[in-house]
Amino acid sequence: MASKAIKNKVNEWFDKDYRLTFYERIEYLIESEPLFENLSYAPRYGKTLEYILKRVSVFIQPEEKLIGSVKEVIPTEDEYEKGAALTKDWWTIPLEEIQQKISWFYSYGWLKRRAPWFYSFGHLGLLWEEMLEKGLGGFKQKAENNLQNLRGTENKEAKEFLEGAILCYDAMSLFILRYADCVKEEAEKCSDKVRAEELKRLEDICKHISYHAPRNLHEALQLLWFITLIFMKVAGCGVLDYGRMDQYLYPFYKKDIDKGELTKQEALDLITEFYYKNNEIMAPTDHMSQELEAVLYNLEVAYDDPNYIMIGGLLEGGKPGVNELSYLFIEAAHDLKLRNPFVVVRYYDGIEDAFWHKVCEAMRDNATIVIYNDMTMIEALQKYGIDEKDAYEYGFYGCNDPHISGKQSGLRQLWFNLVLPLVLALNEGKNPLNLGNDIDSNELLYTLEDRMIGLMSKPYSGVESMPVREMKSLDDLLEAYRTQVRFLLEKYREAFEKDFALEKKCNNGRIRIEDCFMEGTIENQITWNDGGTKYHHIIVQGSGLATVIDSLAAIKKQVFMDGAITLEALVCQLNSNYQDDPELQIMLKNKVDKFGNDIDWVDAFAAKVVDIFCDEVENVNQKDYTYWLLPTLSSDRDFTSMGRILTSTPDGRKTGDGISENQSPSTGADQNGLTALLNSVAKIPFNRITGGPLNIRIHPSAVKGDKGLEILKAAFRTFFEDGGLQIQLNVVSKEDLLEAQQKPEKYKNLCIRVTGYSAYFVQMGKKAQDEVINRTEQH
Amino acid sequence: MLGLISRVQRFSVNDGPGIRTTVFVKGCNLSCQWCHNPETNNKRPEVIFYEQNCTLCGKCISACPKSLHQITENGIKTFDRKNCDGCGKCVEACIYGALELVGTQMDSQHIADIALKDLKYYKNSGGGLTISGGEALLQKDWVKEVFEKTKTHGIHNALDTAFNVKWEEIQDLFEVVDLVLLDSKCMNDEMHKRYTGVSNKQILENAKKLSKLDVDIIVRIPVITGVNDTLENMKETAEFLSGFENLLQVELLPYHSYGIEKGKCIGKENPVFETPTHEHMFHLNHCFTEKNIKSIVV
Repeated sequence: MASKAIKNKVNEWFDKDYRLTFYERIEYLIESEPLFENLSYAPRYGKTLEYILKRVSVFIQPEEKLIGSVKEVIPTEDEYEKGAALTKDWWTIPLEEIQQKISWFYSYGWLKRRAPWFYSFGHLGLLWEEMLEKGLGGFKQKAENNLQNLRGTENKEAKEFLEGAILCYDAMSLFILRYADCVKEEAEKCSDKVRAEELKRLEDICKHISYHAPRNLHEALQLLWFITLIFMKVAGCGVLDYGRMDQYLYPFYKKDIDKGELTKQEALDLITEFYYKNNEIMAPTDHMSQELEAVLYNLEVAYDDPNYIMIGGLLEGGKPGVNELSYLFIEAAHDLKLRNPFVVVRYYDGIEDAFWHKVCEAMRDNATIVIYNDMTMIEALQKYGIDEKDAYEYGFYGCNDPHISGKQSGLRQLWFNLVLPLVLALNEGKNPLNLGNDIDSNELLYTLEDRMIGLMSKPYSGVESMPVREMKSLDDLLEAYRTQVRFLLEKYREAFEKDFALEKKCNNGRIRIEDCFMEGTIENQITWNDGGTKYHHIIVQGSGLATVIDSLAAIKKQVFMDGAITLEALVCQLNSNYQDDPELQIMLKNKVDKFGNDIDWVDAFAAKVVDIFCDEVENVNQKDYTYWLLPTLSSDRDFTSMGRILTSTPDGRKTGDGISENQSPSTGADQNGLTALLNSVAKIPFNRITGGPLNIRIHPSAVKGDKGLEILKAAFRTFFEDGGLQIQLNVVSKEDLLEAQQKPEKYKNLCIRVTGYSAYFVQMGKKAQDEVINRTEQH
Repeated sequence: MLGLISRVQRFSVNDGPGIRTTVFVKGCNLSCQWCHNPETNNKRPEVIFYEQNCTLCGKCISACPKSLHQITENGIKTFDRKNCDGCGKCVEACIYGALELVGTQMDSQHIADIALKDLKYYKNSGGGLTISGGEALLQKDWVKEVFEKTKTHGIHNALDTAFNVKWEEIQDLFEVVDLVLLDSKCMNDEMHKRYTGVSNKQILENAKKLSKLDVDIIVRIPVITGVNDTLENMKETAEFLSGFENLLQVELLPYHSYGIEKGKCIGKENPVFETPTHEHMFHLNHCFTEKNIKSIVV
């Protein structure tokens, strides 16, 4: 499809009714439930997938070169009730039972659309390269060979696992063949000769890739799209790490170009269409604004899941990876400026200027592109047990969560509130907000719900540490902080190992569609979350770094340097939310230097805190554990809720208020210009940190014209040369954002980088909108 | 040596090429009615009062050694600005951000150190340090000291000036200056006197001398409706500049009223001018381009 036709479709999408639902999935899921209920888990999973893929509508849309869509309808009231009731039927059970059925989950909103016998976690990447090299048939053969090897053994569950996988491959092949029939019929009806030829070609493509490896770029993208569609819309397996598309598609592109079978423009059109298809299936809403009607209503799976594409970056051995396709992937993102897919450009020292120019130009126009730094990422990943060769292949399978596609388990998270251990360190390990009545007392510290979702949502207490009256220096406080961080992480590890033992028991014999395309799952006949793959990670999202830095700076200045207040008296004020001295809070907020202004003595705490965090993460990683913890600095949008379990902090933050977001300074604290902000952030020892976003908002006037673009290029380049980790940019003024709140119809396509995913501003909730507005505007 | 500074702006993108740090010195010998940095005009430290932030807490009253801050019986905060010598004690005491001191003495080394923090940004963007004002040349010796220090690190030095100083007093400065951002108000001397308080004779003579030196020039013209926004004035300026071989470009800056609010906070009432239209700016710009002088509207 040409770019113009795609843009028309995009405009239609902006007016999409949020009630539109792929109802066939629900219908056939309900129908199939009793049919296979006597089968074991894996065969039942495969049969269910087959049942649905055999029946859902297949159809093509005008002008499409990449085909594969789902039929969306607005459900009748009865249908809606029926669909909504399913969630209740499945999941209105005690949490302990949920744990046995699913082990863990991302959120209740995520859980509610998934059947206990047919769910996927998503947030993972597949063996894309192998998929394109060997095709579906190659994978099927591998499973069959493994099954062959098990002949004569008693291992029933392993055999069933493979049988389930084979059912899945067959179901997917069959689905693609149904499309071959569909385009054949369309071709016969088609009076336009050119289109009829195109359709005939598509028939051939579908027939071929239903089993065999793709032969060219068009076939490769078509196979990737069919897999994506099945994964996301049928299996509910979204947030895919597409990995390094410009690398693994390059051989196809090169061959086609060399043979004269493809022009650059045609390649660009295909990529653009692939991007569009990734958006077509999305609901017009923002999943992180849970209060929105469009989110509450939704019956879909993976309805708002971005997929991640890595572009550029170093190749194994440190060779530069930017190629001709890299440019096309950026061009397509720039042209469409859609929220999906989420393009991650991997920077490296010496990246070619022409490419950098294109990237920064697209980012200035608010395309969904962010930059990560290979110079720190590749080193950091190796610190947590990832082989050098694999580290070069890193991608993302969630907002800012690093991932090695096809070799690593799906996303599991722990939102680690970095401010909590500070509060505990100031209170001898007791949380002043812990009144004992909203936490189940249990030896595992964390509630089952928090363990399953990966939260620290209750005002947990810590372990006894030095009383503040005995602290003689900031080092004493930092030591107590370390003690609390260690305690919280060790307790997490202890609880995790206990839960994981249960999980492995319950999960035995279970399969999910993604197991069909990962390294180790088929070979070991174990689903990925229980040891099938090479790597298993829990991403520990350190949150609230700036709040901790600012608090330590305030203590250093007020208590240990100026002697204006004793630490004991300060803590007393903090715990009473400054009841007796409200002006102390104002003073701490307004009169003490803050992180983000390139003030060395303040910024020095960044390294101290991050080193403690990373040391203690390493402390709970041991060889015999399946899952390793990887530290990131990423709060996503949860920085407001994380503040609820915290008393006031010495930076002037009040009890219950939000903590700082992601890598950013506390809201509004950075007042010294963009370079000062970037210099501050670059002092964080990112060679130990494996992810996390830095949100930058720049006024359009500061980066306008050729000069502005050169400034942007230089600013970003310098930041990465200095060891910065990530940048995501919004170039939009506060005035425009305020106007967009008033006149949403005028700003339908204003696309915002939120935190590792994008959303359309006018589709976001008011709270999320205000968070973007409150970001410091650089100008 | 100490210099009197009003503020330092990092990631400054409008005062010369690339990413820059701009230092605004305090004190000026022009009094342009449209001044957009009115807080830099006066040669002594001043206290800015942001009324909207004041909670009438009274901390400034007890902090001021001269009792210049008062709260009237009607609950109105007053400040006897005339007798203030800018000691800054009240600003230190204020925790609500209602008072700000503009005008601090800073050592040339301190400024050079701040500038050095962004050295890599300058190198990657072709930027550097700009000293602006106020009138930087009123503190020429200090400016020279700063520039000498930054020069040794290869920093590109830009001087932003209105040039109303004696040539003999400043000519040795240009050894350490790479670029002069030369403010041009208007060619008609009567108008110049009326709106800036001084004649433009010395300014124009200095400009001519500068055109013979090995230093780049960018001429910046704030375009003020009813003052200098005529084709005639621009043509005359273009004529004047047409022999300048070291002129990089002319920048036309349409008037904006940001200075009005800032002025109020330090007790200054400046008149409001009209902002010229885009079309008009385009026409004025043409006066330079037709003489083959590179010119842009900022």
